[in-house]
Amino acid sequence: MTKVRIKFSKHGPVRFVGHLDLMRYFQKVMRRAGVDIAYSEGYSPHQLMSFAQPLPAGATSDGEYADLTLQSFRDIRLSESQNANAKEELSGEDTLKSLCLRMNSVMHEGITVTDAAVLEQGAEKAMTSVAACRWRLAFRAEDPLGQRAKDALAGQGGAKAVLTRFLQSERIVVRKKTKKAEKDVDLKPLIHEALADADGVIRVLMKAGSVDNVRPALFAAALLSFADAAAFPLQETEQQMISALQVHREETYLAAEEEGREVLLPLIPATTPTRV
Amino acid sequence: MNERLALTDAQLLSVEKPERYIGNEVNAVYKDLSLVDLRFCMCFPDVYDIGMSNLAIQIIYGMLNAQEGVWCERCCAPWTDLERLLREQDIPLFALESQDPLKEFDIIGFTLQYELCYTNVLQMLDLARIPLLASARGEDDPFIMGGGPCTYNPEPVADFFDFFYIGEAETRFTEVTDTVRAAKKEGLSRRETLLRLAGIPGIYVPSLYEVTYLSDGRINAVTPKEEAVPKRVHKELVRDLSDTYYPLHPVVPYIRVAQDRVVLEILRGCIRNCRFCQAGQLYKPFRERDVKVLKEWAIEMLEHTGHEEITLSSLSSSDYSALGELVDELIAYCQERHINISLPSLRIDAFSLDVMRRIQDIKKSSLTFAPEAGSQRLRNVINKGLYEEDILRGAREAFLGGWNKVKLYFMLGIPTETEEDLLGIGDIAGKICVEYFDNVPKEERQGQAVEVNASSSFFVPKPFTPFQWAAMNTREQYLEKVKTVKAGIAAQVNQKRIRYSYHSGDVSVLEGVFARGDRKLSAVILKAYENGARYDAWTEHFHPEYWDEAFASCGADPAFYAHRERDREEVLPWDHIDCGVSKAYLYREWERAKEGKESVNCRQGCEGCGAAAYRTGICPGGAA
Repeated sequence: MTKVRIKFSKHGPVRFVGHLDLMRYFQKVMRRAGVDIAYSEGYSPHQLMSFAQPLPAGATSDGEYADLTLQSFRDIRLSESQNANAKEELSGEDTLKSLCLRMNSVMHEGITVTDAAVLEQGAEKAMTSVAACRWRLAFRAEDPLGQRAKDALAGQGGAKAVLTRFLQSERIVVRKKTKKAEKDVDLKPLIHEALADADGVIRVLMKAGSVDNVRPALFAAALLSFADAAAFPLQETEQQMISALQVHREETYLAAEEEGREVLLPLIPATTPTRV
Repeated sequence: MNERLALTDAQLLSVEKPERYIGNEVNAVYKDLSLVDLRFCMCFPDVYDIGMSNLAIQIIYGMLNAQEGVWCERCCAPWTDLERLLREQDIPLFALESQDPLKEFDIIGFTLQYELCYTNVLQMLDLARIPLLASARGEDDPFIMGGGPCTYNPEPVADFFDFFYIGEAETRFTEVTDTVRAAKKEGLSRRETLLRLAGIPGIYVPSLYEVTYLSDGRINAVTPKEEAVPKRVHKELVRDLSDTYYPLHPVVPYIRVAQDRVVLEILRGCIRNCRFCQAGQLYKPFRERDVKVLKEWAIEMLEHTGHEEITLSSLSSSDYSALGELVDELIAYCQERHINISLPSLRIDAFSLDVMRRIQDIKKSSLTFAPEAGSQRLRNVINKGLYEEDILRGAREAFLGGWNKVKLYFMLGIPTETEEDLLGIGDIAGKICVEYFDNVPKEERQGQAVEVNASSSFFVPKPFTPFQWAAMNTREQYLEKVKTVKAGIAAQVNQKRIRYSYHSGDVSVLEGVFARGDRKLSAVILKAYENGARYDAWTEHFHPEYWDEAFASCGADPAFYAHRERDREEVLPWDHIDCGVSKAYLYREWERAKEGKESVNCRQGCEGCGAAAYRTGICPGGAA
């Protein structure tokens, strides 16, 4: 058994394919591509495949990850001798490359495997190792709230100026609703960096994962609420953000230690020994 | 991939399941418009989740797209949330692939799978900004075409369609598209094109027929308006099912649809001759696909869809002569790949129990019997060919094999039905329980005793069946019968092991009206649509008051269509359509039904229904 982490992008109309359907999509990709994926034991066996972090509905991405547990690298559509021939021609990195090609050849053009790496024994799962994400966010002019947001930011010196003031605040306290209760959370330490360009497009690196996750909609709502609390009440604005905010995930990161300090590395770090 | 979408992101994110409207599924077909001279839009008048589960759509989609110069796209009825949005924001209904408005197409084809979808045809035309009435359409409007089981009596929707295709699509569809392509090139008028289409076998152009009525509302005659138009339209039928188009690369939806699996159609038609069943008559003669061909197709489809399940589709799988061989081959292929096999419509016997044991988990599955009627007398009336001893033997063998759940399907309102027949439902359910307790020792019951789930639906007489002359029960009669059945079950010793559920009769009467309706009903359907009716098959969207008002304001009486027994001489609204079985045969069967006499099935002998004229399949002179 080999664990392989794949990185993929999601673009175009398929951005509307929700997380659960995307998982079903990949299960079908495995079968179409003849990937020799391992199955769980028990009553209703399922493919051993897990995704790093769900993408918000309608968002595009260049930094999606999934872990696959493979029985072997062979193509189960082919006979043993055909697989043996294929193996002779390939070795090491080529095996991974061929796996990516096989998947991409049966996928919709909007979803593409862009990288793959073999995980070491005992490596942490993609799902639990997510520490941060870099997002690209833009308010949509075609949406009433999106247009109001653009106007409000422009009226206060532009997105860049508002964002600078926002990040200079001592604390950025937002009321977060959990399943049980509401609690106040300070976003300030959860935002690693953020910058805006002249068109008002914001790029932000924020904490993600199971502990200190900041959703793009919450970040955007907090920014607007900071700009004009009366016009953009936090919770209401956050709820309506889905249609007002264009979201793109650039990269998903894990936390690692380098020379005694914490650094963020992509889920497949550039230094990984066996990668495509 | 088509990057362009008809809706903005904000609009798509404001509706439920936006994946219904974005196209771009695996195996969807995209073409360069500059190389296309005929645009066809295959429409399904219900939501995407149902539409994309339909085999006919996949067949026609694949078959048309295999032609150069023809691009077939798809469109399903927008769900109520999108309909609201399209109206509010003034967006015309669009096709999934190009996302272009339907109005830009040459032909819009609807498949009519059930009567209660009629208002959704109007909803789609309306949202597409195409005139609802064929008579109001101009030279620039697309041709509206209908097909599918409901078109064997297309009269209730005749006013909305330019033409109907009667029968199986594989044989003449290319002739239809070729004719329209040629007509476009030659610059023929709409009427000239329709006249040409009427010359293709299986094509029915309702506007070319005159319907006259008697003073009591019954039909006097249906006559062609032009000499070149055929008096009767004969069903089209595939002679060799192993040598015909089949969609080996069907579209794979992103969302979980009703039929989220590979559908392998193993045969068409049915040998059984059940008298209530319309499909059994419409798809005659019984024709099987070659087992080698099916095996190749199954693998090709599984590899190109990635589905985790394959279902063998037919009206009666047990009648497929090479079922054992096919199942063995499929199990060999599927098991190591974790692909499930489902086999609906099996008759329960030793063979099918063995098959079921091999392909599914006994603990999770239940056995299904469809006795349809509670007494042997009534089962003879419907010619079910299923006897109490078969049911009890099947149940006993299943119980001994480890099953303990049984489903029983019944119909209420079958002609000649008596109280005794209704009480028989409780009796048979009770006897099944007794089989369990008599045969399964206590220590093997593992704390889970037998569970019998009986359910009943409302019998609706359909055209081209021996019951096409029969009166349908009223809703009140039906609900009375439900009470009797309940009492019959309550009287059983093991009544605690029996659960009973029944379909509400609300929509059944409407279904009965349309099933045997005439052309006058087009006005009623239009009025009900204007009143707000759509998605009538969905209980939560069915509003009887829209229909009551529509019948009243059009002066039409539902009882005339649903609850009236017809006599032999009456001209039926569908008499000018020929589905391959003769009216004389159906009437013979109607008389035998009333006498409680059975007829043979097509393997046992020939009752001379008329389908032998197709010279194929199981019929005398056919290949099999």
